[in-house]
Amino acid sequence: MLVLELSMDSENYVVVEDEPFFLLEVSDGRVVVTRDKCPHRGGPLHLGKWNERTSSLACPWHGTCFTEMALCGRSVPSVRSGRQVTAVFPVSSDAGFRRYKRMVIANDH
Amino acid sequence: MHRVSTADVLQMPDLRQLVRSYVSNPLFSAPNEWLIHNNQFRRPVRPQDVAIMDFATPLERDEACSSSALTAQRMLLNVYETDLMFLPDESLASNRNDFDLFYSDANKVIGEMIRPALEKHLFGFLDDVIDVSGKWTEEAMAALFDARFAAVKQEESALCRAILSAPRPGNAADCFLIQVAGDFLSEASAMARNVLGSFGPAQSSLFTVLIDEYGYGVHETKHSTLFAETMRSRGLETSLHTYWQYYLASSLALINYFHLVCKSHRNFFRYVGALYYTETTLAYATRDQSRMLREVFGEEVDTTYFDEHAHIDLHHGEMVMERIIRPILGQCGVEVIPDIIRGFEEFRLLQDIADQDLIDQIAWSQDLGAYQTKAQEMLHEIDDPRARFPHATFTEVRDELTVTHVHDDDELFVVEEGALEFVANYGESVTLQAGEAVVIPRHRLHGTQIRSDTCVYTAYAVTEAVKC
Repeated sequence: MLVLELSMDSENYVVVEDEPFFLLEVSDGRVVVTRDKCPHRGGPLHLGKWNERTSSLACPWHGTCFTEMALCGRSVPSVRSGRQVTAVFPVSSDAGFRRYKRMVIANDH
Repeated sequence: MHRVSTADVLQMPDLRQLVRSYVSNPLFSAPNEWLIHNNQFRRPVRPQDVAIMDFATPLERDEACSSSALTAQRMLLNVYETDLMFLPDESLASNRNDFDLFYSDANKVIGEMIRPALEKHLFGFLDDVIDVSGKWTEEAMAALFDARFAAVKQEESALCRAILSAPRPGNAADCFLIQVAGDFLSEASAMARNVLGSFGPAQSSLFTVLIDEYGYGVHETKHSTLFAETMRSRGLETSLHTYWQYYLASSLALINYFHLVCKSHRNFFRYVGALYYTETTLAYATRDQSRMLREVFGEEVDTTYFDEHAHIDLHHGEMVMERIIRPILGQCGVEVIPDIIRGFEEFRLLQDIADQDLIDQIAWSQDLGAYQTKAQEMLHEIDDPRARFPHATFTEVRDELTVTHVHDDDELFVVEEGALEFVANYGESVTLQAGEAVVIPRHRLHGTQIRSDTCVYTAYAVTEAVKC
């Protein structure tokens, strides 16, 4: 297992062994570390739009919607303490990874 | 589902009245000296402050050391500890009335009525600051814990470093002992709430941890007895809460958190997480603290308590994982992991806040000269502070003691007439005469005792000027 510390202010996107994840703020200020690739055709979910009314995220490519529960189900286990998020990825502890700060439109809510 | 919580009910208008009734107990009024000798029942909380405090609203994280936090933490510990048994080290005769008042039905019942609101006020911020997400497995949980402990092992204790580099390290180390005394002299009392009932093999393991703490019934080896020996070797008193007035809000929070998660059994899984954090990290922390104490005091200080924990807590940490957490997961399922992690992270955060609070208190209290100079510079630069800053002027008489407290503003404290002893920590005080002044940063604990027939002093709230 690979344990990574991510700062919400400076590292909101991480690629672990070619699999991209991003920090998504869902309801009540909770944060999940969820897979970025849409299972439909691989669209970038971090550029999707959050629907406040239905608490769901729409993929920017084809509009596939994911409820908060579905997004949590696609997330790796994580814990947030203040603005620091610690996430546990299901790969070897010496797996390669890269952290980024990216524009995450999905958090514009 | 009925969504109104007990705390919600007690946020209603009569909470203020209930709190006022609670603090009207004479046990909580001002004493006439700084230390409270041989009387665990006298626990001043400054009743005059509660009228202006809003205990119905949860504090934010940066208010964890605020005036309201200190008052509420003091009250909450008093509420919790009426469940515990205390006797004075010496004669009860002179304290019998206080004993009866502390364990009275009125103190107990009103305390229980305000408890849920105080808990939410003090610890509600944890709900906002910490959240646990995603699908947790036993393996992921273990990986997180291992990563946390690896970091603790590598980090040098910032608190020990601050004590060793303080202008008066001996006094700073004594202040550290005093901060932990409220917990260590009644060690593991909160967890005893969780060993009764019937919940499988984990219960028996928890009981083993408890009886380890209690020295297997041999009083000389009870951990609190070992800590009392450390205190004695430093010439400090060993009666519980002798140093009540020197406790910081953040130190009280560490004791109260364990009561919070043990008092209400719905918090049991959070308790298990917090227990795992404290048992495992304490092994490293007490090792560093033992070294620090010996470096400051040499061979004269008794560090048995700390050395014992450095050894036994490693064992307890393994035991908590293998014989408490894993059996609980086998019994209850991985669904309880988020609660276990939450407790682990909550106590970690509270410990960080407490360490920083004590570091800040030591730094200020051991540098009062600089803050007196700063005060004189402010008085020199500001023509008419009365016109510029909110202020209050007090006239008090000889020996009158103002129980230790904190302010939510930076304060310019000026003695106008007479003299007083200004106390900034145990063993750290200055006498301020007419015309003398000191700057008190927000959230720094202090108190005063008048040393002239009468004394007039003014406190200005100067946060804006200090920022400039």
